[in-house]
Amino acid sequence: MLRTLTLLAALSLPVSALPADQDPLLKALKTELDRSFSKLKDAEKVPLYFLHYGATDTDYHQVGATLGALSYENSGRERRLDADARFGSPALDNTHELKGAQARQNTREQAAIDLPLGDDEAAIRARAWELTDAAYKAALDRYAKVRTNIGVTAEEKDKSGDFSPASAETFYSPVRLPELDKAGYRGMARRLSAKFKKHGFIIRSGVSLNASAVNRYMVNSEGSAVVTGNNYLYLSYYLTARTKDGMDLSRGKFYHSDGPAGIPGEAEIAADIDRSVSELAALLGSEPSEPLSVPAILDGPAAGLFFHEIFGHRIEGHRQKSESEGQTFAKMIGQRIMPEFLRVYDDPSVREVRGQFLRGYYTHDDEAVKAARASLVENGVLKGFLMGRTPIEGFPSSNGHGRRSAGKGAVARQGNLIVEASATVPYPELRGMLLEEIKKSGKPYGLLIKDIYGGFTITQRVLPQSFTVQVLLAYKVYADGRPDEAVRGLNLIGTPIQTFSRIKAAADDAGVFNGDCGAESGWVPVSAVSPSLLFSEIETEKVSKSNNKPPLLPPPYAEGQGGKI
Amino acid sequence: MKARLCVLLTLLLATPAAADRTLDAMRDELERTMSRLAMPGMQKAYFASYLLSDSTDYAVSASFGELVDSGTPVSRGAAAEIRIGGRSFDSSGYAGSDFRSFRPVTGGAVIEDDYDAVRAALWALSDHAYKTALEKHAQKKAYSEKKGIKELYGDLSVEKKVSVLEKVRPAPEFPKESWESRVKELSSVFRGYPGVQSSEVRVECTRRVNRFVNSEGTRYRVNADKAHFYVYAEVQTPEGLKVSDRRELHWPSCADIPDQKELLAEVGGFARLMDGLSRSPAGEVYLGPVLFEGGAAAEFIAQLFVRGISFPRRAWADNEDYLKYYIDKGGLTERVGMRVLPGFISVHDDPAETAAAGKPLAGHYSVDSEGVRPGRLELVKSGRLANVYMSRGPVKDFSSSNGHGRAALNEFPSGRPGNVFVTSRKTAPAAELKKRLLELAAEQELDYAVIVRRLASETTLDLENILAAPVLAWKVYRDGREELINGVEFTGVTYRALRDIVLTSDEPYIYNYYQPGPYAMSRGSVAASIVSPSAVLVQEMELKRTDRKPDRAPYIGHPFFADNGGKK
Repeated sequence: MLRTLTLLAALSLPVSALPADQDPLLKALKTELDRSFSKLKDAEKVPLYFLHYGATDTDYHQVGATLGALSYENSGRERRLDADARFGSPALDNTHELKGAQARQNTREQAAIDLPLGDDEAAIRARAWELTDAAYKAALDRYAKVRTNIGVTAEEKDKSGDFSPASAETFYSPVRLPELDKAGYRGMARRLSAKFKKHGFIIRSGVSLNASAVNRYMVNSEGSAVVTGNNYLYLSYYLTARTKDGMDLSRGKFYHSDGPAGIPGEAEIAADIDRSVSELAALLGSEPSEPLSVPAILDGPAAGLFFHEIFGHRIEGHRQKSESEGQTFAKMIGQRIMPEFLRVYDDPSVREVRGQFLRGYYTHDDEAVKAARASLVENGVLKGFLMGRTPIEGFPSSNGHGRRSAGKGAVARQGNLIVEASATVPYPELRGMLLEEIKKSGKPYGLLIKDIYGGFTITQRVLPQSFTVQVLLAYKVYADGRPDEAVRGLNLIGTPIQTFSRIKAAADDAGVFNGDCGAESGWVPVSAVSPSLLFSEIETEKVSKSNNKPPLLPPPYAEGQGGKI
Repeated sequence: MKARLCVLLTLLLATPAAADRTLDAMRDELERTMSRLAMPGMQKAYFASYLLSDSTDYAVSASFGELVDSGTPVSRGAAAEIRIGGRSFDSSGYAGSDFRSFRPVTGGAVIEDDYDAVRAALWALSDHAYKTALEKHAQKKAYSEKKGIKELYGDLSVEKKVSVLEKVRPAPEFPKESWESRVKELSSVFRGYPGVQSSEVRVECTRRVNRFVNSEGTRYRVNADKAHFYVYAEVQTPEGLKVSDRRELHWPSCADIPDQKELLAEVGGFARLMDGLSRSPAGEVYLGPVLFEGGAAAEFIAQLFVRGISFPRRAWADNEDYLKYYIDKGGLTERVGMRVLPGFISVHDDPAETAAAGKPLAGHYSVDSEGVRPGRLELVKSGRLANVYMSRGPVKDFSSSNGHGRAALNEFPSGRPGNVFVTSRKTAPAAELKKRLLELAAEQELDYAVIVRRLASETTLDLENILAAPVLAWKVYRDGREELINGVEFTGVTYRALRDIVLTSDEPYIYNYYQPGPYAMSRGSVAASIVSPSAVLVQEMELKRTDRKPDRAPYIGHPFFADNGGKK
């Protein structure tokens, strides 16, 4: 089961302070990697054929405010090191999937360690040595398990091997945390968060700013030495309310960028907050939705996230050969899987779309492979997969999508998933087409879905190959000209292939979703871009709810507001 | 002397406070909760309290000469307690079937003293606490009726209304850059010890202010600063057994942290011993006298005695079999009036003391977590147990608190120590103790006796295992020669070991530590001190080899020592 959370955003501002050969961390990692590999490669009967170090150096500042006062303000720095060791050969190594009763051991969890923050080579190497020994022993142990497992389980269909070749990459472009007007952000967070005090129906709210400079260091026994940095900065707010029937509702917004200049001014955010407050009030006054199957429009960013969930995760290469995965698209290369007017690709090397920042941008993935465009769907026909260095039949090499967060082994993941339409209409026309679909379907109304929360998509074979996506903001659209009405308490459900076949048209816009995506290899920053899409039919179910009563007393500052919305 | 002066100053400054809007917010919201928080047709709270704990944590750590962490997080934790029912029977002390959620209702609050925002945080917690308490009260009542429980001693004792408002101390001085270079220097001591595979040094200095109000009119605002020094090291014995230890030093304020020279000596001493362990032989099965020295003497008292008379009252739970895994109860708490120590030993606790033998005591406090003032408490008179640590939860032998209801923010208060003073009338100088140890061993025709100078942490204990394994133990041969050994654990330890103390040293040892709490799922710890003889000789104890399995030695040498030919 995979989960995507709507979270943060940002891009990179290269500040090459030092030439690569003078970077103490890079130097220490290279020296220790070379020493370890030369001494360890033949230390056991089975050869160690590959060793990789990946260090993630994060420098951050964050501040949050609630109801006009700061709730936290922290700065910090951390450096985590991962070590990946491979025994055997690229054809069969310790990362090979275990089958049968051992399959539950197929976790990507691995040991990671905190590295010193400074430049002292001896201290850095001491920690790297500790981790290398642990990684070496763990890999050796797993290799033995893999060998036995292969002997006692059924033959595999896909004989593509465990590790694909890649060229040695050399790249050096670290970033530094941009100068931040901390006092300015403090003041802005206080003022913006105080706005919620005017509304007694809001039970929780907050404003926060989060800035981080993430530098990834990678060295491996193939000679790669990559240092690549991204700046991520976002400002966000949220507000929640609870209905009398015990349903928690929320609104909120994230403004993602790679630097302070990309964050809108206070007045613009304040206006967005006012709009969110009105939306939450409308949701609070609305009736819970009953299960439906109606025509619908998914607005741009929501459509992007929708594609990320129901398509992107199913197109991750390693899933196509895993014996525990549903393999929805594994054998469909060359086949039509969605309307002819749609093209889908994932390109992490794109920094922005129509001036909008993409948080999924990177130069190299976490396996030191250069980011490249992965063509996934052309004219509605499936063309390829997202590939890390785990080959699959017909796709022997990586396209730079092997990703992870510290403490996990890399697998194929999304970066910037981009959906484009060759035939588009202006948005008002798309709405007109929705009204036509509603009339045609004979349903009393359709749905206009403005905002969704990640939700989850099931790709594992033991469960139905379906998706559930939680709707945060949607309206009923009536064909008879009545004004739109807010509706709450619904999830979008379905199976991917059927859902794609119901896409009827696309608008000429491009909505960008920026967030963090979580899966077996950890949390990675991603973007998803899509035009607004019209579906002839989309199915919904009721949401599960907390069933908690709203607070018995109004918030103390709202005494006298009469508890009214 | 210095510490006494500090107390005097604190008392002088504890004059009626200037405006404290945070305390006002707590009082006002508490009043609203008591008067108006009600579910239609249900009972209102009969008791409520709020605790706010403000912390600024300065922390610096380093490994092998380089920084690993340096930060200063600021936080404010909030807890709301609401009780439904009455003093004789209320919603408290019932875990039901969910031990994970058996903890106070807590959350964060704004870190600024903003009246509205602080009240709002307490409002949200109160709503949750009230609804939870209503459910717990009904469930507990049903449980009590189902079980036909007759032995009820009440749930909340009557205590005096107290108001303690200390002046908030200014933030301590913690020059970050200077500490960064100090900690780096301290951690680089390990560059001289090739036997140590992994190490870390950490200094923490916490400025803390706790504010509390309850519906009985009690309130306090107290400074609860603290400082810690940790040194961690991991070694591997010749047989491959991994042994790690963390030397901990605690003080009641950042100003008490000793100078660099003293800390360097601490780290050096610790590193030398751990390095020694990497070359030490494995210990064997042993039955005979054991001498606990220095820290181990205090740890022996802390683990067997102090823990034994703490947590006298255990919560109820649907599945009683599980209680022992999740909620601790002091094994000596029902032995009031009985012999628990030899007749020559007496023990008392006095949280009012701030120093002993010139050293600051971490266990000092003026009011406990529940707002009850402690006094001098006689615990053991000539070997007989006179009192146990009491919070406001009555038990069979005691119906009221003795000012020892203590807890971290995430735990319910329970009876726990402050400053424990152990006095012995049968003492001898340290050298004499070692001689006596060897005599006892000779009487039993043993080739050697055992000295323990460090025990593993109290957090490793459970109901069956009441004394932690020795980390640093030596064989002492008849000629007095000592040999460091590894890989042994106590076996068959009962509280009898306390009564088997035959002799103590005449020197006091001041041991500041953190007592882990009774709840496995929400364990916090409270600062305490033990002032006890620096050595304790026990007639007979049993040691066995550890059941832990060894690991393979590292495939290649440590880069620093390998590159330097194993030398400094």
